[in-house]
Amino acid sequence: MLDIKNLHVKIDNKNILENFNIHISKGEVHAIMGPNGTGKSTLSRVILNDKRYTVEKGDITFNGENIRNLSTDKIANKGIFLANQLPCEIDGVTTADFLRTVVTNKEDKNISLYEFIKKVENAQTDLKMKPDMIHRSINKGFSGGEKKKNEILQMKILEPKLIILDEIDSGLDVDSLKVVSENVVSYLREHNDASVLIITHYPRILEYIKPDFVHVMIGGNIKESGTYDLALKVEKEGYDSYKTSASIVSDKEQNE
Amino acid sequence: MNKIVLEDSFYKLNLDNGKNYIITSNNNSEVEFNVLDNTNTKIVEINQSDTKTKYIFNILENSNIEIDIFDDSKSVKRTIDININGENSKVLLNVSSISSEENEYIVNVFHNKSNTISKTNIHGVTNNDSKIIITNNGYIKKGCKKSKLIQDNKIITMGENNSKIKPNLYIDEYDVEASHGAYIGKFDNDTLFYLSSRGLDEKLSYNLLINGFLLDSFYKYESLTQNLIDIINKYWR
Repeated sequence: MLDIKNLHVKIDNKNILENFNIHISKGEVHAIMGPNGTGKSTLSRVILNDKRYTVEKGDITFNGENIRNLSTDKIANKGIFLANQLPCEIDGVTTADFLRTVVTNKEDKNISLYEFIKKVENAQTDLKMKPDMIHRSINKGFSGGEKKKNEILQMKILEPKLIILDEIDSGLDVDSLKVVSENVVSYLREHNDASVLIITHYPRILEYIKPDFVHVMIGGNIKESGTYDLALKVEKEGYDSYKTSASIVSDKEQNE
Repeated sequence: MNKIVLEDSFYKLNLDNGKNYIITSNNNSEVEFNVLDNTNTKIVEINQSDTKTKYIFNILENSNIEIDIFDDSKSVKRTIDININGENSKVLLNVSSISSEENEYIVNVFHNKSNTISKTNIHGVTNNDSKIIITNNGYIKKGCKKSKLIQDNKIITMGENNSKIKPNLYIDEYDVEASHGAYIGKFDNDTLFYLSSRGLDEKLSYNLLINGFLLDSFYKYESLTQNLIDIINKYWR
């Protein structure tokens, strides 16, 4: 499904990813763990070809097609979905209008309003969201948890093949984390071929969405890969033993 | 909706409680709108011609008025004076403007009594090298306690930036709330990335953002919405 080989990425002349490699097959759940500033969020944005980053070399292929030079919208339409760490607030555009535009564009036809409303209502119920939320400006005035639920709502409507969850657990209380995770798990149950890439600092979310593979990322590449046991080891021992002299640029700094 | 047809001259009109008004044609007129005590009303204007107008709103006690103006023109010059002359009254002014050459707005809001509220949202989008000039003056007189004045002035430039915003607050009373914001620039890159990460290309993203930016205050007029969407689609689709 997703194959990243020898990826080198820079922003403002700083190396963020260096010789990054990963292979995610259909139906697999991968987790990338690492402390702040290792390039985890950069990776998620580079997969979607965020133009702020410069890809120096390397390949990103999705279902056998090189997507490195495709525009973000075209990559998304191939079936890659990024649930953002900090979802945007957009004045005047309701989630309902936004989703309808996105779905109509994706299907290249006007979808039945009844069908659309039914699907959104069911997703909202699953996510325990207030019914009026989709009629409000996107994420405007939403709490951290509501914003993350709104991301998962979009995932459920768009039905992607590869889901990237970029720190979806940050800013979520225990109950919301459980609801969000359960919805991802039930989505995977209904879509056997779908894969997930979870980006996180903490193993907490992995208790709910069990990964097939866990990777520890430090200084722009993967230092160790393993199974869920690796996440438990990280929880116990932290990241100190992995840290090297590799240049580290904080994700926050990169986003600025 | 009650129609108000204006021609080149001076008018005085009383806006009645519970009625909504639509200004259907207007060129170079000066109009004084009087909002009497205990009146709730809305007035809307959709303008697609060159125009030079002056509107004066005199608002008495316990009243609430929403004024919504949409311009899609080459040349507009509007002066809007709002006199809040009665206590406990509230005014919401929304202006949405598409400029093909030069649209200018001079808005003066005078809080002359205590416990009054005004909110002015002036949003514009420029094309190519067109410009929008906004002067938004808010005045709160001494003694007008517990009044609240909010200005939101934003211009999105789809081409060169030749626009100007002058947001001014003249406050002569301590016990009030006042804020003003001014932005001239492009849509934010993070927002555009967010929309494109859901599969929308640049054109669709701009269309959605401009619709939201200009029409948010107009969706309440269901019979007018489609016409306004068509106007926006003419430029950004």
